[in-house]
Amino acid sequence: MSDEWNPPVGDATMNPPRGGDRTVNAPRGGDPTAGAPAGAVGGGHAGGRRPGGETPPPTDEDVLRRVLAAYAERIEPRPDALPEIRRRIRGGTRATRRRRVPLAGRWCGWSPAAAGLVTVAVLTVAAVAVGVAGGPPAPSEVGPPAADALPSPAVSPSDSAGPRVVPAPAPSVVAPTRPGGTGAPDRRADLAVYYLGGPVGRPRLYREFHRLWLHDGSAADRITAAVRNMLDGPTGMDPDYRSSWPVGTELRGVSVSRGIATIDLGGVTRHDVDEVGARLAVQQLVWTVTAVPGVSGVRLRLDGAPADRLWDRVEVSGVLRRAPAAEVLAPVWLVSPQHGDTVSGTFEVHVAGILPEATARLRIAQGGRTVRDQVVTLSVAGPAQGERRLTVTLPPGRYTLTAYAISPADGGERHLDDHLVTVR
Amino acid sequence: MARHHCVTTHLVSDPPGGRTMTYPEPREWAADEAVTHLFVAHYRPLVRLATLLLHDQGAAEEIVQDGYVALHGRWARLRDADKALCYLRTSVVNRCRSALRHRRVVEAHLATARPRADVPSAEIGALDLLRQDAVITALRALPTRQREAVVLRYYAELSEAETAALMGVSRGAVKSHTFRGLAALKQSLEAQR
Repeated sequence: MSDEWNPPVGDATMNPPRGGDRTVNAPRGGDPTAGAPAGAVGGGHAGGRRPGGETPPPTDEDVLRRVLAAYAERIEPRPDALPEIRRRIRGGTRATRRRRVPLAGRWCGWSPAAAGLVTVAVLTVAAVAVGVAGGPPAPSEVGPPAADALPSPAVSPSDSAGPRVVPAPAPSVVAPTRPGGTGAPDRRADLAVYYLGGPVGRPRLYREFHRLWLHDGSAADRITAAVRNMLDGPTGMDPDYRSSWPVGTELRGVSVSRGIATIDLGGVTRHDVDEVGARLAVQQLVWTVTAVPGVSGVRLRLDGAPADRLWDRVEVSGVLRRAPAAEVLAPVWLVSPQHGDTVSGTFEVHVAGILPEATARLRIAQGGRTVRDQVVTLSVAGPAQGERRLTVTLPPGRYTLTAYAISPADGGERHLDDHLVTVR
Repeated sequence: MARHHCVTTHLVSDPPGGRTMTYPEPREWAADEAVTHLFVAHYRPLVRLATLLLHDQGAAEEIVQDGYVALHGRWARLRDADKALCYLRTSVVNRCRSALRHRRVVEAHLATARPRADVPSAEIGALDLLRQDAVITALRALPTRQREAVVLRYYAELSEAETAALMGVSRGAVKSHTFRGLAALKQSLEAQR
């Protein structure tokens, strides 16, 4: 992850000005265990951090503390929260399956009447949706460091694994009595979906996050959403990412038991691929399924029956697991922004890679003209997957961001992963 | 890879001017009990924190409640009031960020709005409050990460290291987010002097 790196020299142009930091953040190495910011800001003002207690003249930081404190004082939560939390805890342990609400049109508006519902829907996905770039790694018994199931908040890896926050059955799932008060009838989450990319003869896996609707949020529900989506089209959002499953493959059923997902596929009988392609297809499915927290293996069934071989190319009996990242994942990923994203002028670029020297490159081009091209030093060298986040500021426009690596052998560019991004 | 280390502390303060409390033997709490204790100790400051990040109190309350519900299922593994607070904070910040991302369109709209210095506060017309609101409005217009850094450092009074752990970024990134955030707020802050 990104938390321990110190920006290497080569990145200076893309990182925020470092010189200025010192004027704001005084003491380095404030004791992190001291709770309140040890000496935090403004050097000698350590004693004056409490509102009203500082010695003049007040710094910007002091004024800001005072304003924030005063503003916060005016915020008084509604009184009925604890009973509400208890009610939702009770509801959650029951893992009630709720009926699906048709979505089209319902969530699109931002009318005051809809706002409460929308908010709830938005908020309940938060645990999994923190996004493309964020957060601590997923439960990665087998996974790469760049998390699939993004940011469950700290401490323990499987926040979103179980049935979470399922509200008790309400008389009307569509209209909670109190706006923002009851749980969401439906919600969306950013789920990892894997695709093949790279040279046709030597494909590797790439990952995209797709915002998908869930029903009950269970592991089986998430797997269903992700695999359906994977089988849905020949490519990902990035047209360079392709699915290796033949068009017409359908998901017949999903069940999860003790961390193993049983996936029943239909329509896969014939497919003209070589052994490498077949193996990658299996891994595409396995990585997508096991990206769901709490799931570490896959049993494949074809048309309802246990499967031994797929396309007469690869063995698929027993429990299928993720192959080592270094063998199946593409050496360079441009994790975010994703292809087609629109970002604000200052945004984060997230690069991951499995590279012997932990050195990737990032190029930003506009209309064929290179705006920037720089070294990106990843957190760790291969065979682990290192990553790195950079903050980039660009004027509005359309850009092509390309993460790639330089071949030590011939100096050529390798493993290009490019995304078209709009800066607004 | 590097899991974010939650920097925990045994003294937990309800920020500015709030009480400081120590915990008895949280290890013996059952999950329900833990939620109750942690609710009493932290619910209000967490809602305030979330409201500062989100500028929507209703949504903020919902997010914090989500955090407690998730905490309940997690208590068997946490069993520690400090870790629990850390978990709650992280959860709240992440959920706020996510909610903001989903609200991107609305947010963009807000960000372009001028500070409403000429609109009287709903509560009191006092000049002081109007000026405060100008700061809050400027805060609202900050990019998400900068706002997080600023609020965590100056409202929640977390150290740089704690803020970095919580946001899942490096300390250097916290510094620069804070620096940029403060720079953007400078004009409205100076009016407060």
